[in-house]
Amino acid sequence: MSFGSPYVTLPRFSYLRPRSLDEAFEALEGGNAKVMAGGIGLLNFMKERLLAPSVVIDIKGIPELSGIRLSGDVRIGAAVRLVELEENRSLELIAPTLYRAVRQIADPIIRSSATLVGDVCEAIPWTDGPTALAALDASASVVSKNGERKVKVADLVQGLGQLAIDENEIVKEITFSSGYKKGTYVKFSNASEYALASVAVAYSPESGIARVSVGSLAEKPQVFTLEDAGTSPDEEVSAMIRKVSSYIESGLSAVDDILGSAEFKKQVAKALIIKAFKEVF
Amino acid sequence: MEENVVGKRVPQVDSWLKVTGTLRYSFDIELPGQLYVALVTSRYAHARIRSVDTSDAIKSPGIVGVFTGKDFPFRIGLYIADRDLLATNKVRWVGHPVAAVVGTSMAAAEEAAEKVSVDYEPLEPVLDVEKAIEKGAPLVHEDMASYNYYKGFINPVPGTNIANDFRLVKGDVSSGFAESNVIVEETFKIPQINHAPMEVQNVLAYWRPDDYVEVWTSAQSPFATRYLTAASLNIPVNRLIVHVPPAGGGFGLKAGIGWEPLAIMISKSLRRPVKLVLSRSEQMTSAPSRDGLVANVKAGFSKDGRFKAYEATFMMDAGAYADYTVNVARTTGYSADGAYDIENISVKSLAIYTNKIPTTAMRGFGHPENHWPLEQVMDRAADMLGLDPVKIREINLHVPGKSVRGTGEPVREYDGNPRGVLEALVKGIGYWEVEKPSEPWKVRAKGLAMLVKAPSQPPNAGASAIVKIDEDGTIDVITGTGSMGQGTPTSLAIIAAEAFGVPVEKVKVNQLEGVSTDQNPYTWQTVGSRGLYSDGIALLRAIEDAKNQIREMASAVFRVPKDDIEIRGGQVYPRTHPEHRLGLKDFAMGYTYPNGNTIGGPVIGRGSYAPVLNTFLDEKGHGHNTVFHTYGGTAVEVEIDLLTGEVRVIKVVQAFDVGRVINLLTLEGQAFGGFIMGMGSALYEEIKFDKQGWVLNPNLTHYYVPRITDLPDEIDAVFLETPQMDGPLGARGIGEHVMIAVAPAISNAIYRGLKVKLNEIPMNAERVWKAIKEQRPELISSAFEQALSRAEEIHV
Ligand SMILES: Cc1cc2nc3c(=O)[nH]c(=O)nc-3n(C[C@H](O)[C@H](O)[C@H](O)COP(=O)(O)OP(=O)(O)OC[C@H]3O[C@@H](n4cnc5c(N)ncnc54)[C@H](O)[C@@H]3O)c2cc1C
Repeated sequence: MSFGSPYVTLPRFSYLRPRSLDEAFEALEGGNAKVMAGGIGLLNFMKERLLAPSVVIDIKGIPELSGIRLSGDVRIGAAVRLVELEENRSLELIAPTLYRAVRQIADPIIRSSATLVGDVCEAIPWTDGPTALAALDASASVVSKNGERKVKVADLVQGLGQLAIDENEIVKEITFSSGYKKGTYVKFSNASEYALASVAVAYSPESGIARVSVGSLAEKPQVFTLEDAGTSPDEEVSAMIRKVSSYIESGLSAVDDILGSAEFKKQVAKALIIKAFKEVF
Repeated sequence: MEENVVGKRVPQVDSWLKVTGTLRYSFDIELPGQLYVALVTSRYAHARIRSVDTSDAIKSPGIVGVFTGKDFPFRIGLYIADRDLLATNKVRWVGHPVAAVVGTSMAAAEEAAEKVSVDYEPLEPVLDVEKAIEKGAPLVHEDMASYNYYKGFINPVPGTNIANDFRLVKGDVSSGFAESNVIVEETFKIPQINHAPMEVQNVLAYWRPDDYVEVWTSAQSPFATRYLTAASLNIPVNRLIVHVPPAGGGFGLKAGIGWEPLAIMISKSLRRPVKLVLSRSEQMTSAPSRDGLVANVKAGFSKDGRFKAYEATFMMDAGAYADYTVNVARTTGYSADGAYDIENISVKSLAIYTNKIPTTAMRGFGHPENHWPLEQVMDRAADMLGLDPVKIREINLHVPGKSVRGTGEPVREYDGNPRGVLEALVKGIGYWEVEKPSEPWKVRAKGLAMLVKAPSQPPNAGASAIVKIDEDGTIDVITGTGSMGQGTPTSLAIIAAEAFGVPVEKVKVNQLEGVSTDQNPYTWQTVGSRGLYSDGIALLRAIEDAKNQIREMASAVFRVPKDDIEIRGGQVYPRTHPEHRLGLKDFAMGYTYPNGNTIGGPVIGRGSYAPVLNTFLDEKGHGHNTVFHTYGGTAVEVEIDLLTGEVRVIKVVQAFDVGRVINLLTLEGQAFGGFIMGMGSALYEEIKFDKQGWVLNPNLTHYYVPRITDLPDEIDAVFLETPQMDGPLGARGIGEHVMIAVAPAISNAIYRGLKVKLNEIPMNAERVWKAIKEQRPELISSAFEQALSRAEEIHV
């Protein structure tokens, strides 16, 4: 993400690399501190002086934050880089929605240092991670020295740069049910790095629940089930698409921004629905 | 030993240094004790500066100086001296440098820059060219009458926002329109776009204790930079030494005069070396971009397809400073007739000041601008006449030896083969075959556009070259052309290798080490696709001079007449008695007889070139102002997604009559790279301004240049070889032509496939979708149904 900056240097800051969560909590207590995972977003924001923390806390050395678990509920630690997800072929089978989203984030160089949790915490309306995770009904575990709480990823991202966590909290990991065995992620970008619109579909054949998340239209991903749109996986796919399309038209909000007009974004979202539904159902 | 390298694929001589990260760019050069500059730039598009308070900044740690416009009360420029080094009295665009804060580190300078406070009195900005030329519009330059400009070359209109008013008149358009059966009348638009070179502009300047001034700069044209800077700053030309290391891309941005004067004046004041490096966003707001355009055109054709009359008004959005764009407007005007024989022409081409980013030269120099309307007019007219786009071009294309350009210059027999280019495009792209789209809601379509361009330069744009033979018979070639990836040094090496019959590895072209104005011979500029042609001719003359020196000595040594001496295969011998041979090395430092007597001396050949019989253009735009013309064209196959408006280029054919292929590898590199650059501006690139004149996308995230994933599946290049009579080995230039026809070719393909007009670039998805929705809404709804029925098929 870049808004353009006249600066070529970073503002002054001190750098800490705690070995445990407790150490990190303590560092956060000092105030004006920022957590850093891959640093891809943070350092850009700092270079642009949108953020100027006096302390940068690198969380990649904290053992509890690493690792991917695929048995039971899926768990992805905050220090897990996108490349680790991409290289995990089992993830493709267990959560194709997320796997495909990850592969479409930025480019291999950025994916080799950026984290999924960082992609979420950066809170940019056009990112892919939050949209895919919202479809999966994922939750974030938010920890601080006062304990741990769970927040739905869909509620975590509030708008551009706005995250529903306190300054002394850290997102420890993301979890979601491994039931969404079918799904996909389709993204449309044109004349921009970022998605002008994106559609994530997560479908659990066992429960019959199918969730759709539409990214980039507004400040945050908008999620609905097929039921909300008045249809179900049992219907003909073309009927599903028609109903979901009209749901997008009347039920979702969209705003004009630098990537496109609200009208056009909705049009693209509807086109993506066709592609996504063809793949999943 | 490979002697005939001309036309083969020779890797660029600096490839190894580039891919190993070893090549030294100007950014890499440092001097002990150098200072760093941070700019404070305007937040208003147009405002009077009431005061600038620098008192806090100067007290900031590590700061040694803070400068404002008051410190440099003079103007600089190339064709019109309209620029200040730092804003004086008023700011003219968002990004206009107001103050320069100088510190011992970049961090210190940037920190202190935040402490400069500027008191502005906002003025009404003018952000639109059409409004800017209305009576009573706010003036961007009230003092234009006092500006120095290149008289006889451009025509500024003080009291208005018009920095140059150029006219081209041929015949009488009104009678031409009266004789026309079909008239196309349209408005075409182009936004300002950025050159986006990998290497941002940067300068290291040192005003030395002996009052000589040294500058290392990422520039294209060492000598123009030296002359213009010296003239602007009242430095004797030979006291200014400009070093130009290889640049990481230029594309016109780095031609003319850049940030050197500011860095020099700061160094003069502080007596220390000063480094000025732009950030990417400064590169995209404070530095120049390419002009925008609004073009109103009217074209008349007789029913048999003859182009009877062309009337065009080009309103070029020059932004706040037009020191180069005045010539872009002039060029857009005089070459508005492109590759066609048009009976009657009336063109008005204006460079117009606005409160937007200043503009400058860019690859194509007015030709992407004037070909965007012209090449679409051809397809639209063809449609109205019931002709096809190829036929209408066949009818109107220049006929070498017969046609006359709008300027009155004849199209010469040796100017190239436009008809052959057209045929190559039609054949290469399979113009008449229809391809199946990848999805039923997409459409495949093919289109093409032609082009012609000559270097746009003053009548005395000269070049010179030096050739030296070294002790071991290796060869040094020295010219003044900058190296920025375009491949000219490699081509010059090939020419020298061919001339002496030595392998290309035996020739060193010293641009690789960078050009230094006190070591390299003069060449006017590295612009306009003129490098290989101008420097090449000078080089061949230098080679001839060196060979003459060798022949002189060899004539004595072999005791045969001078004219009987052959120099080939790296050997020197009498034509009649080739068994008597000596090597180049035997003459390199003069010939030494066995007894020690030496004749001649170190061989050093010199050659000079200046355009032949060139003139200024008169008030009707008539004159002889070109040295060669390169004809070419682009054909594309695109796939248009009717649901999203996304246009993907599937296949491309680029065709040019290059006269003679010198290096096939770099030529293809130009053809491919230029297509991609052209595609970027055709489909994606646009500097976006809000209503206050703020730039919304001063970064490469939202100002989108093509990525590897956007590239066509296939790009082919076809080169015709109609020798340029005076060109080096028959070659002519190509560096800009490769992007000129790209946008109209794509638009013509869309029009051919959908009958949807796109008169404005970039043709991004939203713009294309909106155009389809307005002009052919039924296409979108039927595409949606197609997509659904296909979905069903897959489901079953
Ligand atoms: C050129 C480019 C292209 C891009 N393209 C895409 C794209 O196509 N799709 C896309 O989705 N994204 C894209 N991005 C965004 C990129 O993916 C994110 O910047 C990256 O994933 C952030 O992860 P990180 O680990 O580097 O986070 P960091 O930069 O370390 O952190 C980002 C922010 O999150 C906070 N943060 C990080 N971890 C935690 C935590 N555990 N708890 C609390 N707060 C935390 C930080 O304090 C900071 O504010 C692009 C970025 C760039 C530069």
